[in-house]
Order: sequence, then structure tokens, then C-alpha cells
Amino acid sequence: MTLRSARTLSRFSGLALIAAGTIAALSTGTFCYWRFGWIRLICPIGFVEASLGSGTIYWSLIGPFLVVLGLVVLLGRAFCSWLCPSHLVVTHIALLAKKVSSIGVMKWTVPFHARLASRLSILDYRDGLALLLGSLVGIALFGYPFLSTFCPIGVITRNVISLFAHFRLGTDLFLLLLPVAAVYLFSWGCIAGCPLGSFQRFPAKMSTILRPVGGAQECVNCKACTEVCPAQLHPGEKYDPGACTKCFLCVETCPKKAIVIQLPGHSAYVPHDNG
Amino acid sequence: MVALAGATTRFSVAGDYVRPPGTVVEESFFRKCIKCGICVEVCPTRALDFVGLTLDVKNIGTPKLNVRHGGCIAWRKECLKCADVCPTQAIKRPAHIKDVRMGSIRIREKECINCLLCFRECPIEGALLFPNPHGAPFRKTRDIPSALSDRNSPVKPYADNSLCIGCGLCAWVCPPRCMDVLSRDERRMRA
Repeated sequence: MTLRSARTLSRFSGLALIAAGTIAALSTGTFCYWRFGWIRLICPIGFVEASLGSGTIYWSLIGPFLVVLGLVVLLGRAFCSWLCPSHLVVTHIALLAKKVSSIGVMKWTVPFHARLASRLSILDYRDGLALLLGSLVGIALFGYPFLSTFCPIGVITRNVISLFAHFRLGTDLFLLLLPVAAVYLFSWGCIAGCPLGSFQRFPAKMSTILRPVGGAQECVNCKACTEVCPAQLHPGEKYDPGACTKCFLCVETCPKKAIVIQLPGHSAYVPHDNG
Repeated sequence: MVALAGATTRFSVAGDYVRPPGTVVEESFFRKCIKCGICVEVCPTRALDFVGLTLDVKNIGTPKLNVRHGGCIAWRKECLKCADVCPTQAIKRPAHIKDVRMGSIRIREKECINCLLCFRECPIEGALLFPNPHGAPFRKTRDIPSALSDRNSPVKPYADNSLCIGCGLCAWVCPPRCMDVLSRDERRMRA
């Protein structure tokens, strides 16, 4: 199995689990709150929002919250490229929109889009963080979980449940237009805009395992990895592990196969050896 | 973003929803609910639905009862799964289900065809009544004389909203869909 198909499979498996849970009316949980028997995982943003919004601390959720933080410390931002349903849905809609806008009558939008995109390219994760902090202040002031209404992950989750429980989609799907526009205008909008991603960046800084490491002698400095990387990192140099979403696109792309995946200890997984 | 959060709170149109059993009062419900959807996922009757895209921005994505999909069975047998799974205690398991109210029922009498299916579904005896010209209203289907329960009969069933808990089972089975479940707030306003 290639890394690419493994990634797609993994992304769909999260949605499939929600669908299966809905069909069987089991409480397997959702992306906001996973619940398998005694295992509980809560969306860190959701936890902070609910605590700020209602002005109470949910002691029962502190455990799940810490487990999630621990997972992020251990695995970094793997959620972003391996599970996030928003990546699956929003990014593909945005790519489709891009394709549509470059054909026929829609051609006039291309220079307009390019101009706007070049202006937006100065945005980075700090803007996502500002978005998150602003929202949290708003939640604390006005007392309701504001982000959870608009979070594209939440919208997709609710619509998957709605689809399998009632065989229809909700009108709140239109809320996805917001992130789609962000990804469309600014090709890596989910790096700069996503509050959850910005939040994960800090615990993920400590994650050292399972990250791509380059700089082998084969490297010819062609920068193909940096170009394909959502965060424009170069695995050959020292980079911020908090920015890496462990998608391993660089590992797949490297023409010289000079990038390997760091495993615990000093060993490394070389995905090209087996063929 | 602060302004946006404020604006959506201030300018939210107050909607009116029938919430799952055991929800905290409406004013603090939207503060606690993180719209994770797990209550809708576990509901065995599929009665729970999401509030769609409305001008009531605060409540988009929160759970509500939709009688087109089902009614709540918590008064019939042990359920309250929604309360058990809720991570933020926006839905709490009540000590006694008998003390809980989800709402109340209103029957549009002109559309009623006297099929009395609602009587069969109602989990609370005495919540649905049928007028008796010679005494106390009928509480059970078998007591109602067939002459009175004719399709075109001038007398139609009515609800005793001091007993009705608003589970919506009657509205779900109602063939002409002439029953509306009213929320707790509406009930309070009318009281």
C-alpha cells in the first residue's frame, strides 16, 4: 500500500466510523467527542469553548482533554493529514472550484484570484491563532461556543450523522463555503486559518517521532519537497515540528528518495526499500 | 472575531425548539452544547435532528426533536441515551423521568380524522382525552363508543397539557399530521 492510499483510507475511516455508529445507533462518537467504552477523547477546542461558554470546568472532560494533548505531543499534527474530514471535503471542493474557474466563461476570475491570493500569501499560522484567540475572548464575553457552530469538522460530522440517520443533508452545509473560500483563495488556507491546527501547533512542537527527515547525501536540493509541503518546509534542514502535519508528501515526492520517516530511537523507516 | 461572536449572539433570532429530555433550561443550553452531534447519533428512534441553517445562529447544529423522524420513548422504557453520552452535560440524566417535560401537544382539530392512533402511542395515561357527553372524558381507546369516533364526528380528541410530556410519539404516528409538539418555553408562555 502506498502512503497516498493509506492516507486516503485513514481519512475515510474516521467518517466511516461515524456512519457505522449512526447506523447501529451506538455511541462511537464524533470528531468532537470520541467514545469507545471507557476511552473518551474530546476536541480540545470544544472543551475550552464549553468551559468558557458555560463558565464551569468539566472535571469529567479534563482526562480526555489531557489524553488528546498527550497524543498531539506524541504524534504531532498527524490528525490534520490523516483524519481531518475537512481536508477531505473542503480541499477537494476548493480544487474543483479552481478547475472550474480556469475554463471557459469563468476565465476572467483567474487574474482576480491570483491578485487576491498574492495579497493573502502573507497570512500564516499566527493569523489562525489570532482567529482562535479572538473567538475565545468572544466566547468568554458572550458565553456560547461560537466556533463549534462554524467549525467545518463539526459541520461535516453533523451532516454525516444526518445523512445516515435521516437520509438527508442539513442546510448548515452552506457554512462550509467559508473554509472553502479560504482554501480556494489561499491554497493552504487550512494552515493559516484553522483554529484547531493553530492550537495543535504548540504541543506538536515536542513531537519528534514519525517525522520526515531529509538531508541524506542523495539530496540535490531541488526543493520539490518544499513545493509540495502544505507548510513549505524543507525536511533536509532544521524545521519546526509544530508546522509539520506528517502527511509525508515530501517522502513520496522526493525524486532521489532522500527523505525517510523518523521512528522512535535512531531507526528510520525507508518507505522506498520494499519496492 | 470578538465582534462576530458578539454580533451572532446579539442578533440571533430566538428560535423555539423541542429539546431532548433532561436538557438544561433553554437559556443555558446553547452555552453548554458544543454541537458534537453524539446525541443524534445514539438516538434509537432517530427522533433527534439538528437545527439547520437559520438566523438563530447560536442554535445552529444543536439537537431538537423532529416528529417527522420519530418520538421520544424515554417514558415508555429505559432510554435517555442522549443524556448519558452528552460530554458537556447540556443534557443531564434526570433523577425521575416522570418529573421531566419536553413540551406539550396541540391538535389542529379540523384536520383530525379520529383514527385514535395517538391514543395507542401515548405513554402517559390521561394525557390524551376524548370528550364524553355523559360524564368524565374517555382515557382509553376501548372505552370510546364507535359512534363518537367516526371520521366526521364533531368531537375530537384533546390533550391535557398538565399531563402531556411532549414526547412527540402521537405526532409521529398521526396520519394527517395534525399534531404539533410545542416547546417548553411556549408551554411556559401560555401557562
